[in-house]
Amino acid sequence: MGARHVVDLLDDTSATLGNSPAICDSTDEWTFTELVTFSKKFAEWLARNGVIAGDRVVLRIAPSCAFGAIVYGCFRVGAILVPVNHSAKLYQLDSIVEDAKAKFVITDETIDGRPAYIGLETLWPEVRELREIASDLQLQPSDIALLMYTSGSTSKPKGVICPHGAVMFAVLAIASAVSYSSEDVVGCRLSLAFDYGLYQLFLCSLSGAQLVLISPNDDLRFTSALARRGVTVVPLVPSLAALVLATAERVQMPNAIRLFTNTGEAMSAKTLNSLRETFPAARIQLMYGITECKRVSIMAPDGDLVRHGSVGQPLPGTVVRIVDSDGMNVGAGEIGEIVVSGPHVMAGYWADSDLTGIYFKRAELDGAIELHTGDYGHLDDDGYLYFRGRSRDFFKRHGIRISAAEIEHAATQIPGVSAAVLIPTTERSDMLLCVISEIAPERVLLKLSQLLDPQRVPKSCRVMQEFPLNVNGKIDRTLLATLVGEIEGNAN
Amino acid sequence: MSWDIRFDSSLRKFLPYLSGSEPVPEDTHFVDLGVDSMAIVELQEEIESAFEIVFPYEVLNRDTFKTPFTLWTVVKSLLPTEAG
Repeated sequence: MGARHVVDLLDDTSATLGNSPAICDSTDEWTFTELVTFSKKFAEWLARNGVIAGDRVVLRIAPSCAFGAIVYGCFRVGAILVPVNHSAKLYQLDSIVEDAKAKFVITDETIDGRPAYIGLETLWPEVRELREIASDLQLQPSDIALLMYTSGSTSKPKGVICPHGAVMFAVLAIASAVSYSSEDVVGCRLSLAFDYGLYQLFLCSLSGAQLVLISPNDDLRFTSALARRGVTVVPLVPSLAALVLATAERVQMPNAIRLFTNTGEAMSAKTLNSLRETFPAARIQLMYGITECKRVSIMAPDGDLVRHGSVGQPLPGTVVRIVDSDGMNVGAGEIGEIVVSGPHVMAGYWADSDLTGIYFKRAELDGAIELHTGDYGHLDDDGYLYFRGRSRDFFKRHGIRISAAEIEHAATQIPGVSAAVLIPTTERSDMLLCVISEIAPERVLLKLSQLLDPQRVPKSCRVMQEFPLNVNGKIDRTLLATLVGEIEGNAN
Repeated sequence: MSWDIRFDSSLRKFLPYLSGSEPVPEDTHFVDLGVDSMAIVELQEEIESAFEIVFPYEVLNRDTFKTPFTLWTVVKSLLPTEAG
């Protein structure tokens, strides 16, 4: 028998828990048998449409049962899945399709002007009529499962190459620290194009838990929706925690939530306290990760109460070093760059060996590839990790990576905007776009909202005559941020 | 669309793409007007406070909070009717 990969997790669970609920969205509810069946039908569709191992399939659809079938269907024929956030605009989707050199692009509906992109509404009735694929391709650990496009310092996002071996290792390692059982119901409101969301599918396949995809339609009564569905586990980012708390006041019925997890951004003490007050039966697991290796560390349930500020221990079977600017290990308690090694470290960036070489480097000691995260922190005497900050050119907002360069580049595509600088989100204020522009600031934001997904469109824009320059003639971003801060302060 | 001035000014607090002189576009989706998930909850609270109403559970969904027009339709239905 060859190495196992994530499809085996689904097939094994289906053999014993075939009639158990596997996945549901606002309209459908599938058992494990149905998820297997539809994934095999979709695999057959791919095979009949000329998809061969290694071909990229870009998927921009709302989270749904079909999404789950498409993920596993791709893996069954060795195709590489490229999930894209459902709210991504055509400008962003086209860029990823071009970079990935996709064989197929699947969207919810057919798009005017993109005859090559296939609408799910057209595709799925075809898939339903097909027989199941006769057999799966035998995968190697080095075969690529996913390209996870993620923002960085460049003007366009880059695809993190995720081989099956690394994905499987990560799923098993995470499951050993965050255990779901076949009794669990995971309430997922996260995008399935975000690895945190996507891996909920794999973790549920491993454990036999049910994945409930909560629709944005339920946002105003989010906690009620969780209670009504009998959700026991809720993966969070801090902004989703805010939604949980804001909608918890009016809930009439009891809930079954036993566990919240958090990653993407640090959760404040205030939010942690509020969650514990509102959900006294639930425990909380803090985690830290980066798409380039999926996850770095996980804390024990409620471990934060004992070891304040830590994001947990490294995944079992992985190593975290803290290094100085020469790459030398620093002592416990000292801050340095977080460097990660282990089978979960992904295989670099798609079609960008230069960028790959910057962050994925061979260790001098044993030649293994290590991920230089660009994040900073320290390890304590017991090997627990603490995150302090990041040096890479992206910031976190609502738990996701936002690249100032991407937003600035898109802004300068707008006719009338000649230059743009994005002031990142800080603890004190949300991101703000400064432009040199002939058109009004609100119009700039409106135009930007046609190019970028809502989470990447700033809510404030200031038109300026010029940007301050430093001695090298480059835009002085720090000074600009200070000047804008003063203007904002005076206005308030 | 002639709606209550309180509705108009409540909405404007949440519409970053709208300048002061422009009318609120009644049929544009809130998501295309820059109102995200958390903002939609804050908008709900703002409207409830401005009109002294409470949205019942059955209407607390995105169909109600889809566009300014759909929202105003529901808000109107929750207002106390004029006597006489």
